[in-house]
Amino acid sequence: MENRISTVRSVVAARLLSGSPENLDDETPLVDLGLDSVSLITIAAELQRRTGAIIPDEVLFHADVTVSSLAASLVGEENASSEKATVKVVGMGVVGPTGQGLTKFWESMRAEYSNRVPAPYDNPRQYMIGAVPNASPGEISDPSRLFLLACEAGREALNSSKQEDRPATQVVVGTTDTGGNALRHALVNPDQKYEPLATARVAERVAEALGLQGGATLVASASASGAVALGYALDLLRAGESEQVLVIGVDTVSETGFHGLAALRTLSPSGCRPFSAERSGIAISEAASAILLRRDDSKSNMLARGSLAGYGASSYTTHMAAPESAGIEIAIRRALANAGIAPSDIDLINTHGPGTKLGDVAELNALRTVFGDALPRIPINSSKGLLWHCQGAAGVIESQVCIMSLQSGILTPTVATQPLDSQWDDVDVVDTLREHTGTYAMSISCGLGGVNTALVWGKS
Amino acid sequence: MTIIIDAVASIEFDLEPLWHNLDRGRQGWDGVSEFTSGLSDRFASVVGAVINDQSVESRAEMEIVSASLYGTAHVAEVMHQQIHLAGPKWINPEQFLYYSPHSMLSAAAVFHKIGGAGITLLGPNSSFRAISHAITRLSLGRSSKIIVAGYEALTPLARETFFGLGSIPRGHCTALLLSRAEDDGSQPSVADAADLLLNQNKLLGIDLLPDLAKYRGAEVRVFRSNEKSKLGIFRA
Repeated sequence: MENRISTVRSVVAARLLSGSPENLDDETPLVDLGLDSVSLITIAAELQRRTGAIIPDEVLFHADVTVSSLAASLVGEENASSEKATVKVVGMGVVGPTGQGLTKFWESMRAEYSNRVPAPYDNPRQYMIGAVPNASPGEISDPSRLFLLACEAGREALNSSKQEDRPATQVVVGTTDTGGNALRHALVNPDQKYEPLATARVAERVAEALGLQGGATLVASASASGAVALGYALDLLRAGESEQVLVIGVDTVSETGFHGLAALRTLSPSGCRPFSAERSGIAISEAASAILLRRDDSKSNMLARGSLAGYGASSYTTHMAAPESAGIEIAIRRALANAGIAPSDIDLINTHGPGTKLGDVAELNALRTVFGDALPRIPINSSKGLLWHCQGAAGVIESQVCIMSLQSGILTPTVATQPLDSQWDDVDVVDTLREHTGTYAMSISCGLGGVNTALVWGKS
Repeated sequence: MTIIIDAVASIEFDLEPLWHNLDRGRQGWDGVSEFTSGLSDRFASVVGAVINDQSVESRAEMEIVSASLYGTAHVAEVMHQQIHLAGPKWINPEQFLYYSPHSMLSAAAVFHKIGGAGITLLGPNSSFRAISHAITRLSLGRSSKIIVAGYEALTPLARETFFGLGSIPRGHCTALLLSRAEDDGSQPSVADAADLLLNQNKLLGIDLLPDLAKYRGAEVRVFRSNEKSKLGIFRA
């Protein structure tokens, strides 16, 4: 214990403007020493690097956290080897409004191309949606659409990994489409069997179709479902419960989802315009995006495209329908702590950035609080300006933007952001294609009802 | 490390009003909305029952996992009725807030100021996977207490789809509070010693959580072999 106390003292003292480790009182709350939560994250990152232990969020963010309580928390060595295990990206696949396949996706992101069509439902305001190029209205609203899109993206991710041990792979699917066109089909065709179409079975059916026997899980956490699925997979891999997990974020534009969002006055005829002074809501897209994650081991010689370094989430909100800055802030802090890095280590932030009046501002305020004076030096973008809101697929497809940006050294622009809202004047909004090298990128995703998430991606 | 079931709460309720209102078409829509609000209140109440002695600070860090087989798809069933019988303008915006199965968790989190990570798992075996996930998070040191809460409100379509034709089932909301506890050196070593062994492959989402309501204080462990998992419950 004495060694642990000594380690914590030295790390804490390094963050103080004055004082030596020997003069620190082990029981004085660190807040009273002038350390804010950003400093605490940095301290935790350093301690985790030095000791390999895990500092629980509840210890780190406790109002009375002290040298003593931090030292007492450094007892997770038995889990440290699992927690430190690198989780690599070994395959990716995508189908959506940018086209079919990862190559086409990245070309389209760079060229600012996305396919848009009128929503194929009762649509007097002529709302547009993002759809796979050349998809007919009948295909877009087909009751099997969710399953077919998920299989297509998942198959590409598996094939791109060029590996043989697929059967042990777990499948985790994230979606919001829990009551969409498959359910409508069942209600108007009571003589036909519903179970094969039911969303409740979609993860199992995708696993079966792809020949994967490692288990299947369906995550249904609103629009953050894809990001939450990635966090779920990270836990499986770090805990050693799986060697490989295929995460698929997928969504269709269903009739109920479309009309429900319209009823909530969330849809905008001009689509997603992140950070724009003229932003007025979202437009939605169909998409499936898959990332194959693998727990790194010495036997694996597969080419990695990046790594999933950390995940943080919070359920904090004060209203079911209104975004909450504090909830997003907590998720970001937890992701940084989980990755064991400081805010200054982040080189790109791919925001949730939906283009709603309140949501964009809540997220910006959270970023200002966490990153402080460093924020203007970090490029930020929102892929929703081009992709629009891919709903349950958003967290995965926007993570792919982060991974590809780190890998290629190219940042893709935020489309439709001009005229920029003056609140973003001091922020480095990426609005044209640019070269930029970095080590860590953060992807933020949020969902209705206070689902706040942040993922940290590392360069391979 | 030992994981124990620290607190439990479970309630059952009658689904007959939901089935009746779904069958009434337009005349039943308000009744279904009332049912949904009531379901949310019931879910929040069982969550509240397992954390009522937890401090505000503790709740701010507490995580929650929810599980359901059919989720809140009854909301979507009514929306389909509204769209096709009367037009989309009849959709109640407030009702759409409950379209996502995660909405039950969200409402409980708002009411009880729960600030930790939240996740909703859907489908067969979701409650089994929810407990497994909570144990994983606790074992990794990501949290010291996690709420696992499930709910089920099957409609006639869901009843027939997943269980075949039959009588109206009971609805339920159940919550467990799982906690890390200090080891006392007497951990059970074999799965066969468990009071109750649950095999994920034999379970549907509605079965597991209510069954565990009587196991307060028991230790819960996951056993894995050949990609299959079992939960072992060891009575204190």
